[in-house]
Amino acid sequence: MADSGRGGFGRGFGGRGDRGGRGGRDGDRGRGDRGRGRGGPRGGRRGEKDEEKWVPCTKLGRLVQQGKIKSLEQIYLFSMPVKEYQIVEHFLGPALKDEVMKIMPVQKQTRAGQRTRFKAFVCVGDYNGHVGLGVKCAKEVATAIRGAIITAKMSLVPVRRGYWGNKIGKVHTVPTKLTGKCGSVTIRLIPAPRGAGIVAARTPKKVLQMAGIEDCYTSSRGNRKTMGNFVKATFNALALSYGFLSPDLWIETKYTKSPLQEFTDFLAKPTYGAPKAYAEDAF
Amino acid sequence: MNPLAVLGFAGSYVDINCTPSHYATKVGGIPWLPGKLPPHDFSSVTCRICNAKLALVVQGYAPLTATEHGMDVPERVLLLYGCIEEGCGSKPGSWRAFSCFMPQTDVQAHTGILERSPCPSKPIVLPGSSSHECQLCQQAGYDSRVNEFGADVKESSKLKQNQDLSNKAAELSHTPGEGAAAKSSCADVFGFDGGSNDDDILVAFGSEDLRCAAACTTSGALEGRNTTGSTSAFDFRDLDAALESVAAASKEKDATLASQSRKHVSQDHGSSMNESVNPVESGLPTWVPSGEFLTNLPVLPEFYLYAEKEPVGDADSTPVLTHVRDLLRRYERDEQELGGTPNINRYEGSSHIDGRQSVQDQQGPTPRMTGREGLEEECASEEEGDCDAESGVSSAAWAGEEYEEEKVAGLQDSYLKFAARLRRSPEQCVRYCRGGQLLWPHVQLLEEQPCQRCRAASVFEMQVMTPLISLLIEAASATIEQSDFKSSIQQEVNVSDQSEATATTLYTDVDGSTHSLGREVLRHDEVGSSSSPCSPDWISMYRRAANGAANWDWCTIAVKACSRCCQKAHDVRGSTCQQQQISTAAADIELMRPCWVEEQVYIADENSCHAHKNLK
Repeated sequence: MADSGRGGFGRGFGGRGDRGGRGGRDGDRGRGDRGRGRGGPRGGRRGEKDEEKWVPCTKLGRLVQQGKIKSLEQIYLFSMPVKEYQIVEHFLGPALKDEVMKIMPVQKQTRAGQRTRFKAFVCVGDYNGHVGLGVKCAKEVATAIRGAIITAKMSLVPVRRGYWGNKIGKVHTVPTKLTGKCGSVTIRLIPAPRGAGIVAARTPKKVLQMAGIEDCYTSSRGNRKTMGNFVKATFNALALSYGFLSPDLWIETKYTKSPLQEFTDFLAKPTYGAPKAYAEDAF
Repeated sequence: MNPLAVLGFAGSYVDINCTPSHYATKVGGIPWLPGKLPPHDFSSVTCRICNAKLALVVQGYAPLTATEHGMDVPERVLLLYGCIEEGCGSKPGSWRAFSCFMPQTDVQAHTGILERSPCPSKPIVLPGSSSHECQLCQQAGYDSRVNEFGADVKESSKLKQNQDLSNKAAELSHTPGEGAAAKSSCADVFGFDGGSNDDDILVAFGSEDLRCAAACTTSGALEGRNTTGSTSAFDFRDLDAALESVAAASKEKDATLASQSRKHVSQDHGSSMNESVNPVESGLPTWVPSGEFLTNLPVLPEFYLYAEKEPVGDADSTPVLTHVRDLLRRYERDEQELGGTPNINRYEGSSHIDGRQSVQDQQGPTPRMTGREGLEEECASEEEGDCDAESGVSSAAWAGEEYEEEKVAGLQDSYLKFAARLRRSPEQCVRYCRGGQLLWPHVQLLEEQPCQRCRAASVFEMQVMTPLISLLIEAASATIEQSDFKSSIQQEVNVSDQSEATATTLYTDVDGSTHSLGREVLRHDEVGSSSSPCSPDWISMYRRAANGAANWDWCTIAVKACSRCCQKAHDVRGSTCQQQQISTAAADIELMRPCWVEEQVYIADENSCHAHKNLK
C-alpha cells in the first residue's frame, strides 16, 4: 500500500524521476491533467557536461531558438544587441571559425608584488561577411580565451563587400574607402582589384580574411606597435562598411516590424515559409 | 557575494493526482497555501496597471529561523505573481509578491495536531491540548532521542492516541470551508495511503524540511492507517519501508544544502537539532483554491523546483575545453613559426587547462622579465627583416597593453558581469538567499526602501531569472502537444470499437522512452466538458497564459521582504476578535486563515541593459 504510488506517476526526467507527483487516489485537484510532457523541465543533470542544451536568457534568444528568426540579418536590421553568443552559433554554426590573435600578460602593481593576468585577443569569422573581435583578461589563459570567444561572438558585425571596378563575379573587396580608428591608430581600407590580395600587416590581415574580404589595400598611421589598438581599428573600419550610405542603397526600404514585436505568439508552430522582406543588398 | 545563494532548478512536472502541499516549491499552477481557509486579500491579487488577475509564477516554501524570529516561527510561503496580459509584463506594477504565513501555535491549538520536537529534553506542551496529546508529545519527545521517527514508542498507546487524533482531525476537516480544502486534512495531506509525497515536501528552500517531512510522513503513516479503520497491530514492515524511503530521500536531499542560508544566520547554535524549532510535525493543512477563485484565473504550466547551491567556478563543458586547448596549441605553433620566441614555454606552463591552475604570483619577476626581453628581441629582429612595406611593424610587436574590461558594443558592462554569473549554471530559474546579495544587471543596486508597514529594513530574499521563461514555454508546448495528441487519440478510440477500450497506444518520448497512453486517455471520458484537459477553452486559456509569460522581457525580478516579517494582518485579526466579540467558532475560523502580506518587487528590464550610443 505504501509503494503503490511510487512508480507509476512519477515520470520525471534524468535522475530525479521519482520526485515528481505522487500517485494519490483522492481525485482531481485543480484544473485537470496538465500532462506529463515529453521532455520538459529536466531533473538534475548537473553532472553531465558534455552536451548542454541552450536555455535562452533573453527574449531574442527565445525567438531564435524557436526558429522564428530566419537569419542574423534580421537582427542586424533592427540593431538589436545580441546578448547571447549561442544566437550567433545557432545561425552560423560550424561556418564560424575562431582564432587566437594574441595572448599576452598584463601586470598590475599590488602591495604584494605583481599580479599577472592574461589578455587574450580572439577573432571569429565565417570568411563570408561576418566578423567579430573579442578581448578578455583573466587569471588563467583558458578562461581568457573562453571569455574572449564569447565576447567576439556577441560582437559579431556584418561586413559589406563590393567591387573594385566591373560588377562581374562575386564581391571581393570593400565597397568604399573606410577608415577605422582606435587610440592613436587609424587604418584606412581601400578597394583593390581582383587578385591584389590583402596588403596589410599580419594581424589585421587575419581579421580581413576572416571577414571574407579577398582584396584590399591598407594604409595605417599612428602608433602601430600597440597591436591591440591596431586590430580594433581594423575591426571598427569593417563595422562601418554597412553604415555608409551609398547610391545603391537609395531605394526605399520597406519597414517591417521588429522581431520582438512581430512574434508574440510563442506557442505557434514555426512557419517554414519565405523569410520576411528586408532590404536586399549586394551580398 | 556572500552567503552563497541557493539556486532553484526545474524539476519534474506536477502530477495531476499529487497531493498539494504548501511545503513544496514550484512554478506555475495555482497556489497551495497553508491553513484551511483562504487568506483575506486573496481575491484581490490583480495587476496594478491593467487590473487583470495575476498568474502565480513562483511559490516557494521559505521558512525563517528561530534566531531571527523567536520560538513562534511561522510557516511561511513566498509567492510571486506576474501579469500575463499583453504589453504589461515588464512594468513595475504588474508583478506582486506576497508572503503567506501561518503561526503554528494557532493551528495546533485548534486542530489538535501535536507538535513533535526533536529536541529530546523539552517536550512542548501546547495550550489547549488535551491530555492525550500531552502524553503523546511527552512520549514522543523522550523517544525521539532514540529514533526520530518514534519507532520505539509502544504500540498500543500510540495507536489509541493516534486514533483519537485522527478522529479529531477528521471532525475539524468538515468545518465550513472550501470543498477542496476540507479534503486536505492532516491525514490526507501526509497520508501514506494517498501515496507518499515525502519527496514533494522536501523540495523547499527551508532547511529543516528534511526532518519535518520525515516526521510528517511517519505520523501521516500512522494516522493515515488509522483512518482506514485498521486497528490491527502496528505493522513494522510499513514503518521500515517508510523509514527507508525517507532515508533515501534525505540522502538525496543532503545535496540540496538549502540550510546554508539559514545556518549562516544562526551560526551561534551548536547543533542543527537545536535550531529546529520549526520542523513541526504539525501537519499544517494546505488550502487549494477552487470554485470562484478559479474563474478567469490565468494558470501557468506547473513544475517543481529543486534546490542546489550555486557553483563556485565556471562550468565549462568538455568540448569547449578541448576547443580552447586546440586554439591555444595552434596559436603557440604559429608564434613559434614566427620567431621562435622563448615565451612559448611560459604559456605552456601556465595554461593548465585541465587542472585549472592559475599563475602563481609568487613566482616573482623573473619569468616576466624573460618574457619582456623576449618580446623586445623579437621586435628588433622583425623590424630588421621586415618585408611588409605598407604596414611597417611586425605583428609580434604587441606593446603597451593594459588590463581591459570586457566590452561588447551595445551592452553595459554590468550586464556582461551579470551574464557571466548566470553562465555558471545556465538553467537556474530562481535564486534564493535571504539577506544575501542580489545579482543585479545594473551598477546601481536597488534603493533601500524600508517595509511599508513597519518601517523596518527590507532584505533581499528571492530573485527570478530568465531561464524560467524558456522552461515555461517548453512545458506549455509539451503539454499542449500532448493534449492535442490525446484528444486525437480519444477521437480515434471513440470511433473504433468501444469494447476494445483497453487498447494501449504507445508513443515515443523525445528521449526515447515509450509511454503507454491508452489507459489514461480513456479515463477522461468527458471530452468537451470544461474540466477536461482536452477541452478547447482550457487549452486556449493555457496557451494564452503561457504566451503572456513568453512575452515577458525582463532581465530579472527581485523580491525583498520585511526583515522582521511583520504581520499586520495578524494584529487585525486579533483586534477584530476582541472588538466584535465573535463566538469562539468564528474566531477559530479566522485563525485558520493565514496572514497575507505584500512584499516589494523590483524589475530589471532587458532594454535598460543596452548601451545605446554604440548601436548602429
